[in-house]
Amino acid sequence: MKNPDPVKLSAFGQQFLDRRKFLKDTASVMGSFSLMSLLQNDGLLASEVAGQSSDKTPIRPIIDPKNPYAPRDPHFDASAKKLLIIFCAGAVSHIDTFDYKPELFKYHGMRAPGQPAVTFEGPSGNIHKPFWDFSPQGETGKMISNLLPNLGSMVDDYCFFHALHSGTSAHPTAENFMSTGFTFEGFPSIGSWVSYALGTENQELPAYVAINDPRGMPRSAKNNWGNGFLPASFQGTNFSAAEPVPNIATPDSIGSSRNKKTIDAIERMNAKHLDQFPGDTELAARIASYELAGRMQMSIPELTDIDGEPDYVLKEYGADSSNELKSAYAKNCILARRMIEKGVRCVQLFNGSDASGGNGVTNWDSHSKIHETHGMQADIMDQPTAALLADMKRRGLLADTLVVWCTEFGRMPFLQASNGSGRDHNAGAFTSFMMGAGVKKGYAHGESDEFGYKGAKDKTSVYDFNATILHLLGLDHERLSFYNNGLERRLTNVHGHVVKEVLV
Amino acid sequence: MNRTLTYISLAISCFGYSLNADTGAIQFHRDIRPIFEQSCVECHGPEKQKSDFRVDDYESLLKGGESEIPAVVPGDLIESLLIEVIEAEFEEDRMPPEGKADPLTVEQIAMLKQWVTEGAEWEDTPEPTIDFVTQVQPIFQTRCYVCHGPDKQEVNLRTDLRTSLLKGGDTGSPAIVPGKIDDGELLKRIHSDDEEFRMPREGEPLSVDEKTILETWIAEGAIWPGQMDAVEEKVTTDLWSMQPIVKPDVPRKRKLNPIDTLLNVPLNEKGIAWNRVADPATLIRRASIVLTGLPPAPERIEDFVRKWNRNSKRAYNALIDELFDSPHFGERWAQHWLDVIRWAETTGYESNEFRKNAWPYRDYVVDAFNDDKPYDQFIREQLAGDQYGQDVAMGFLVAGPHAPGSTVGQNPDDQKQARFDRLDETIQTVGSSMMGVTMGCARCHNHKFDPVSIADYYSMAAVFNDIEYDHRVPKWEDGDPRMVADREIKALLAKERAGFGERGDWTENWVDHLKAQFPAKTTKSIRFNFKPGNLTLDEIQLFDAADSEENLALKKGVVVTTSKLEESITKPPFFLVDNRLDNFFVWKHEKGDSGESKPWVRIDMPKETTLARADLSVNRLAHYAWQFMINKAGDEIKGAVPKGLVSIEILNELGNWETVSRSGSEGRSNNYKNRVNRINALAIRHVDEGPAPIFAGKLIEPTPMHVMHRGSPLSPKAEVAPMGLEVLDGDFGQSSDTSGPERRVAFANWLTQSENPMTARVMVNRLWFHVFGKGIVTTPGDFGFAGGMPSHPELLDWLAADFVDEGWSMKKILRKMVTTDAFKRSSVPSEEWLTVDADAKLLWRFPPRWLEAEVLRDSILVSSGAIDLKLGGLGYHIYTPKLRYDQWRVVDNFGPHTWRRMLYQQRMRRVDDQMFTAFDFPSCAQVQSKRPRSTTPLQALNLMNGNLIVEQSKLLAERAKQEAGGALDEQVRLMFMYTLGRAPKAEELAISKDLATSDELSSVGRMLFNLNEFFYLN
Repeated sequence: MKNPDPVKLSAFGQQFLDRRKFLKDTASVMGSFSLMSLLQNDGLLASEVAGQSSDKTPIRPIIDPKNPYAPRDPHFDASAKKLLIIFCAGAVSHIDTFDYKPELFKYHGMRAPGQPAVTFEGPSGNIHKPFWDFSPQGETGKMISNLLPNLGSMVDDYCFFHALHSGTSAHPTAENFMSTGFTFEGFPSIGSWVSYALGTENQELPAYVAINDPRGMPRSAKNNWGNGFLPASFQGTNFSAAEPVPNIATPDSIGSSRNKKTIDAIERMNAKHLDQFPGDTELAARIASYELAGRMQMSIPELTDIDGEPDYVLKEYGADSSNELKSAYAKNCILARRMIEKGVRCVQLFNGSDASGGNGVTNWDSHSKIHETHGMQADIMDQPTAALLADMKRRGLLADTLVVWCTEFGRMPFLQASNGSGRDHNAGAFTSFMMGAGVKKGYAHGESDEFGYKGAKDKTSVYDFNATILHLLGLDHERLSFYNNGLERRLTNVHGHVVKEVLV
Repeated sequence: MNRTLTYISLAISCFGYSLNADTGAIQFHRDIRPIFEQSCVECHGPEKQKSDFRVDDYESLLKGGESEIPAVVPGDLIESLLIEVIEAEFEEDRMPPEGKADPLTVEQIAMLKQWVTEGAEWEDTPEPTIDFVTQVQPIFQTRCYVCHGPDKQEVNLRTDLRTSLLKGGDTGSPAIVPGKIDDGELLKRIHSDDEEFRMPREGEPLSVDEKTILETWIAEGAIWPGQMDAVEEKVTTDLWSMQPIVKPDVPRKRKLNPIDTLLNVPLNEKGIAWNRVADPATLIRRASIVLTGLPPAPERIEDFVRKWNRNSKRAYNALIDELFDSPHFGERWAQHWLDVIRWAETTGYESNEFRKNAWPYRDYVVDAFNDDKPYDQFIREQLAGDQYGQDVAMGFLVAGPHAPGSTVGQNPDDQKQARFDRLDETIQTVGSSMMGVTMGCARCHNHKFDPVSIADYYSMAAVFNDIEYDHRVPKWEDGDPRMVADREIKALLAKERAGFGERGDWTENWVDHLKAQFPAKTTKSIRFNFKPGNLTLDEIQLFDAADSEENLALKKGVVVTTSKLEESITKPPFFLVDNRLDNFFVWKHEKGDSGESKPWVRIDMPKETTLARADLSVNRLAHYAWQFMINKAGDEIKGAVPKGLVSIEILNELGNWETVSRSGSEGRSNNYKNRVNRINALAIRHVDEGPAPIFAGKLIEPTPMHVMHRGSPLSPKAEVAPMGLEVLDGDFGQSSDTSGPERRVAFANWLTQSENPMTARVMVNRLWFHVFGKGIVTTPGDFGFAGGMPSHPELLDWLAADFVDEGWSMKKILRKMVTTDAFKRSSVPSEEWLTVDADAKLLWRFPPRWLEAEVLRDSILVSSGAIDLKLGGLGYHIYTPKLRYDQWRVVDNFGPHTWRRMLYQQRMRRVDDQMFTAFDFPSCAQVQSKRPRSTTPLQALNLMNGNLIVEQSKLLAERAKQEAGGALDEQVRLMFMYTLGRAPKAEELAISKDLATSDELSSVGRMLFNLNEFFYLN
């Protein structure tokens, strides 16, 4: 990514964006001042005292207070620089999509050995075969359900995780777990960790964006993109093709030319104030943040202007669909691609919202009528998502972007209740996939058991999954940490192993 | 150590191993005795011998109890009563009885049967066959000492001390349990095939012989000559914060606050020249914001500057008096306290429900600071307010997030987990705010850094095990208007009820429940009959009088049956008498359901009981606990009463069902109907005016607490007594039998006794942190090894000791802080001293800082004159009302209803208020002892474009125009005074006038609200 064009900046803003000049002008004391403050961060020294083994001491990014988003080096070289997470909320049934289990056809209508009597919502019913047929896809001939024909056609590019398991079978806690590494509320999200560690290349856009489903927020809402106890700089900015960033636009009652005058006046006043406190980085940083805000006001509306895309693109993604949910999601997919293109560090794209509109209707939570409700969700998700992946591939974005398609857990191989028509939650096994920079293509890691009930081979915990994502971005999940309330906190708590098998 | 330890045998999870361990023959001491101990001895053992029968005595087993039928006939399953009762077809005949012990598992029953079949062999403790010194010790020496011996104690375990093996290492589980080979980590580890788990980790596994020796040694009681009576050494620590407080002698210096004397020592040592006193306008703004969170009015500034110039000391003291006396002092400091305990008014998690009537706790904290409630009393009330007439203070214990029981699914394991998660929130709240200890770290294993064991954690869980996250009706003082209304309305009710006569029956509508009143009857069974179709029930409560409060349906042995359960329903009928608010819609009957034409619910009492009233409800939670929640039609969900109740019958002594209450007004006189109407009106009055439930925790019966292995509530280990930290002499001699309130009172007393070195240190540091922007310890919630060290240890001790000496007065110690020279110093930087002490830790200058979100918002409203400084009450709401599983969305965060102090913005977890979240307003989920401070472009966007700023800029301009008349210079001057507390300089005036004339005056307001100076506390 290019640095912001210096010509566009006011002389004042330039002074604060140019690190070398900044340091020179404010005398060498400034350098030591900011560095000292950083070293004296809470607990940094203490954590060393507390006997961490020497090869796993915490690595804390050095954050320049005047630009917390400045790009920072990863812990080690990695091809993935950016991260796109496509999160299908509500729990996608792995056995009806990507995890082919022929035994389910054989045992259809019977009870499985060792099957629990009661699962999350109540008594369990009999085994039910997949609600859709499977057919071989791509050159690898991987069996994929006909529910997702478009995603299925790109199967040679995916790296599947078939033996994922979660620690919880309730949606909100499982969403927390996937997105923050903890089932509890209030831990930093993966995107926050990544932008805290790496900053971002494009200063004109937020480092981290969470795009809601058109139907609303996911169940755990802001937990998924919250900064937890990290500084607020690193929270995800929440907007979509239809919902703008709050307060991005100058109020109509003011208008841009009047706004410009006010901004100029603020700059002049702030400059005079700074003279009284020479060398105060905090004051300087805030002045710089107004410059950045001004630039975002230009670049974000430009970014979200999907209608400028050529017709064939809109069509490929399904943005022209008569299904309004599908066309709105398709526009979000286009938005996600544009963000990655422009260098946003981390994009989280949601398909599915909370349950206020009904289970299986607003998300993938198909406790009943799974044939109908998963069908409806797939109709919304399949084409736009596949188009996004294909488009990214064509444009070469996968060379430095890691794509993660995931859900919070799987669904049961048997029906929910004896006369049920849906499947209950299954934290024991589920499927997600990665694609792009640094991961193998046409590969599958781990296997669930013959029914898809629990993991059987190479089980992958959510910790392992998240550790692998960080690793692919050049970050050591055991060392990327932040001191809070007594502990060096990590995305992976005290767990997690990088799944080396999936690395290129 | 004095901790009461009772090891329970964990037969359930380990039998697989026992059966596989040898040929399959049952061994009494290994296989059978643990079952008896776990499931039978409580009632049939040394303590109690119900039915004159005991299982710890072979003769009694052979002879049987009262019935004189042998419990065990060796070799004969059919004749053995023991086998019959453990397999009894009907629950009421089965042993162990429900509620006394967990039902026997299939494996346990199989084992007992095998034992009887094999001849019911009974052994007393055999003579030991293993010699410790020659057989066991050499194994320890050669294979274990290298990591767990006299020289090295990995995970704090040593195999050269019997006490250490009994206690176990950092996991908190014993390494050996004498006589029990199914328990204890040691045997599990030496037998394991998992290389990560097996011991010894280095070298070959132990040989079969060695394993047998250790196993037999343990089975025989782990006899260890010379160490059988060894007592574990008292836990000690060299952690600085746990050492006694020593008040340093401060040399008296004329005119110098002792705090300054101590602060000046390191400054003098380093040769740092401190700044001069700040100018009076800066000082009054600093003191006002630090103490009240509100900027001073321009007149007050001018007045202060005048007085300062005459007599600075007198002027300053008068200012400080005024600020401490301001009711806004309490608001400011309450905000800090609420931050520490992440208090919020929603539950968090999926449903993130609004906690109706949580705000009285917020007001309690405000009042506590305003009244200068002594901190030790503040602690006692928050932990045990029920014992001090301050129920509302216990909102503290339930300040953190919780997942309501009804949202965690039906799996009992998940529900146990959720209960322990809720307890954990309470423990973290107490630990971080009052103790300065990160207790959460000891939930799964001993604390990695600090002298806090997993047993300490669960002992503390025992202290709070009578608290559940729920509402309760608090007791208010007699004179409280709510109590006055309560008495008055109850008297009126009694009069009206008497009007029905002794044989009357009638049904009262209490908004969220029905009270069906009927003539007192003594019976064992009561039945409720309903009209078919669309009816639901949450709870039935039974009473023996019209105004009785003791719910007889909670008695042990009550059985509930219903005509028919809705097909998909998984909630068992006893949920109808579970006394839980969050188990609602328990019983449903839908129109068109097949079968029963007349749905009914029947409750059988364990014995004859007098009944005179039944309360029936549908969803009390909605009435008690919900606010701003809507249904799909968009209507706010309020309390409702059950529909379709037709009649209530009791089973009389002749065995016939007799109707005692019938609903509806058919055939009733007008007089009767009017009386019911009058009663219903009184009921509504009582709901509105009487004591309402508040979110201050519900008191429940505490169950025994155990150490949970690796933090899993499914792996209970040793039982623990309620205790404070062992290392700080936290044993107050209690047990699982101690009542909940006594536990909490004892814990509070332990925290506030003057020997406890943490409590005062932690609090004075917190107060200091909010005065100077930096703590003496930079980690206010963590005084452990991983936290910061005090920058001024002597000063911290002086403050802590003085705090206690002065009766824990927070105002007194704060006054000492804000009257120091250090507090009054100018914040102007110095290139020279920045190189020596960059962040002014030594306070050579007052360290400048950004305002918090609240102060920023309040300052804007104060400047424009819009602020409504009303104290307390329900906060203002900026979100849309929501469906239960929907999210809170901002609808109006700027309109006139929001023009109060931001302390009164309803605090929701997990939301973005689209304005101040970007300013590090906390998410109130994880404990965060201080807010991070960010600078981001989103803050700039919010402050430039947010509706609040646009509106308030206009109001500020209008105010200036009104007060200044037509002169622009004066208008601008006033706007500077209101926002920055000073007049504009010539150049600033020019910039502002230029902006005002080429644009409009409100743009000057918008500019001022965005200035660094406005946002900066210097």
